[in-house]
Amino acid sequence: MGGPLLEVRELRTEFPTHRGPIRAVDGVSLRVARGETLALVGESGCGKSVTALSIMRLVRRPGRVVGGEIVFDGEELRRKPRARMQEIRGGRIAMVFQDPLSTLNPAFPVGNQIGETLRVHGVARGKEAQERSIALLEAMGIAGARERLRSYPHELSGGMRQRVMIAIAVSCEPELLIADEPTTALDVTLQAQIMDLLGRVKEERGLAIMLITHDFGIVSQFSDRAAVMYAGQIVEQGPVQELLEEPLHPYAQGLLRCVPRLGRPEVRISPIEGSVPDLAALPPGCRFAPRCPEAMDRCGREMPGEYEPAPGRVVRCYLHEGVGEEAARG
Amino acid sequence: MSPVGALVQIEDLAKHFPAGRGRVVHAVDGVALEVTRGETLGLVGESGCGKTTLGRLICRLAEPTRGRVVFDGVDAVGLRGGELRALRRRMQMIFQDPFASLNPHKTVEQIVGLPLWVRGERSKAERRERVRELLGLVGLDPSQSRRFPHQFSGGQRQRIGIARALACEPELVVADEPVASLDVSIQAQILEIMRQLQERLRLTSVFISHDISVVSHVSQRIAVMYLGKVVEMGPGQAVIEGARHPYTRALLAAVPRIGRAERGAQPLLSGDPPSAVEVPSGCRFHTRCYLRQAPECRRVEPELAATEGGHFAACHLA
Repeated sequence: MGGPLLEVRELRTEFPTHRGPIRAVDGVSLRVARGETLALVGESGCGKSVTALSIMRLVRRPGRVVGGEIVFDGEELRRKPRARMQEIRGGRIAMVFQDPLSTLNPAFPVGNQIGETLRVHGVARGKEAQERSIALLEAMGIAGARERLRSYPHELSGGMRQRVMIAIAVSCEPELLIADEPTTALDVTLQAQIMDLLGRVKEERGLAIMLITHDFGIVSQFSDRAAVMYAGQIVEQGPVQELLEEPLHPYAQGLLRCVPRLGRPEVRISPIEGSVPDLAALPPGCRFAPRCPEAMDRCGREMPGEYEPAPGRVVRCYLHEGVGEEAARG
Repeated sequence: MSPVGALVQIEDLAKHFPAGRGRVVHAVDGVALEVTRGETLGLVGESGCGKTTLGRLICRLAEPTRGRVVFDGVDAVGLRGGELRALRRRMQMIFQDPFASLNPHKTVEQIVGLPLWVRGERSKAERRERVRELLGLVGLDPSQSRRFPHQFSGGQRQRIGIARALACEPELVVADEPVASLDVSIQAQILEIMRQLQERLRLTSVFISHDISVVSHVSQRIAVMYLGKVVEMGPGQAVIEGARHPYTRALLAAVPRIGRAERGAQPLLSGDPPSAVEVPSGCRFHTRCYLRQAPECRRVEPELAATEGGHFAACHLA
């Protein structure tokens, strides 16, 4: 105990292409404390999902983690033997994905799939596994849980399937749950139910959550700290209210100005000009410099480090260099 | 043609689809509304509420089961052949998926120029000039008009779709989830373009979206749909700040907002919406309604009734 539950330092993941390597994750450092929710927020292709998959060691070949450390509860995961990693995956770190239809096996009733997880991780088998599965589904707010065990995924609604996925994820009492866009495929009233459920599960079980999302509303309502990603890097991280009320990085500022605010017609949206750089041909300096309204000469030439202008707030931008002291990372 | 008044009037419009074994999907089930010239009407609701079908009915891309669609004084239902084609020229659609709605074999110039070519009123050189003008209007570089759709990003492709829709200067544009598949920064770009076009061209449009924040940003009036019916309609701000229907209130409460307030509030709705095959009796929302219900909620279907200031709600308790 004492240290963070998860600490990632300078993580780098690449995918080779004929145009050279795509640096999908490039120097990501983050921490998740026990019982804390860290939101990883950003737009498509910014590397938030690849960061999660890298932590889980689930990056598909030919992609691979080429650098950095992933320390979970004091143990380095990158060099763990495959069998040990399999125990951790699903046992101590669980994952919920966006689309439950593609992660549940369509050929088996959901009861089998919950039971399998319990059996593989040696938690329970046979009759006991069945009783546990029922209790889990009930805890997820599924009515008629005993009968539901025999349902196939296609017989369940989208919200119900996501409840089953969460049941499977928490079945082995993990310490960390990585939720990758868990409600993106759902309607907003269902999203509210699933996020409420995740919040309760987290409280009851003392889970830490790494929540991957593109929705700043979700970030605001459900996380303690947030990290904003752009083109493979975390450009800013900090306590969620401070980050949302007074973002420091020009990209975070711009992104927040793009969000239409409900019931606040006085807040005009203003788009960020330009588009995301090609990850196979990145600019030499700051990745946001070509679109940044405050870019200086230096920004286009040299990559800024991560600075800590206020306690707990880390930002990768020269505007905040030397405001506090350089963060003691990397 | 009067500059004010309704461009589109819909009366008791319904579209039912056969669902096999004699069952029927009540996709749109008795909708009455008007789209006023120069306004943007936002149509919001969750999956399966019938908003897309309603949009298609307005553009006569689907044949209604019953009811009337009156476009600029002309009853559009039952029009055939040349009359229908003449009507369709005056309305255009913008689609959700900019990958599926652009022909990958055609250049941007061909795609945007096609409606002009079909109309046959301009020479090739005139069409080319008009395409360049349209591309400029939506913020694309006219010098890229010889490129193919795959050479553009999702946001740029959606701009191409908008340029195509505007090519023949339609009087009505129906935009069906035009920003649903876009990232937030790109979504903001497209929303800004749509706002500018509304102002510059005084477009009349129907903006369909599942996202009430987006709808409220671009629409003067909002209609909220649930299970094939409009349950609430009114000026944007009145609907957002003074929602009358319990479904609208639940929808608004479910949107995660940026800010401290309401953190950790309980969701108002539980479960999934009922199927459009077996529509509940009385008020369609009564099976999920969290208000203390009156006996008529289960028996009598509430009418969309005026409250004040052009604000309507279909609820016995509102």
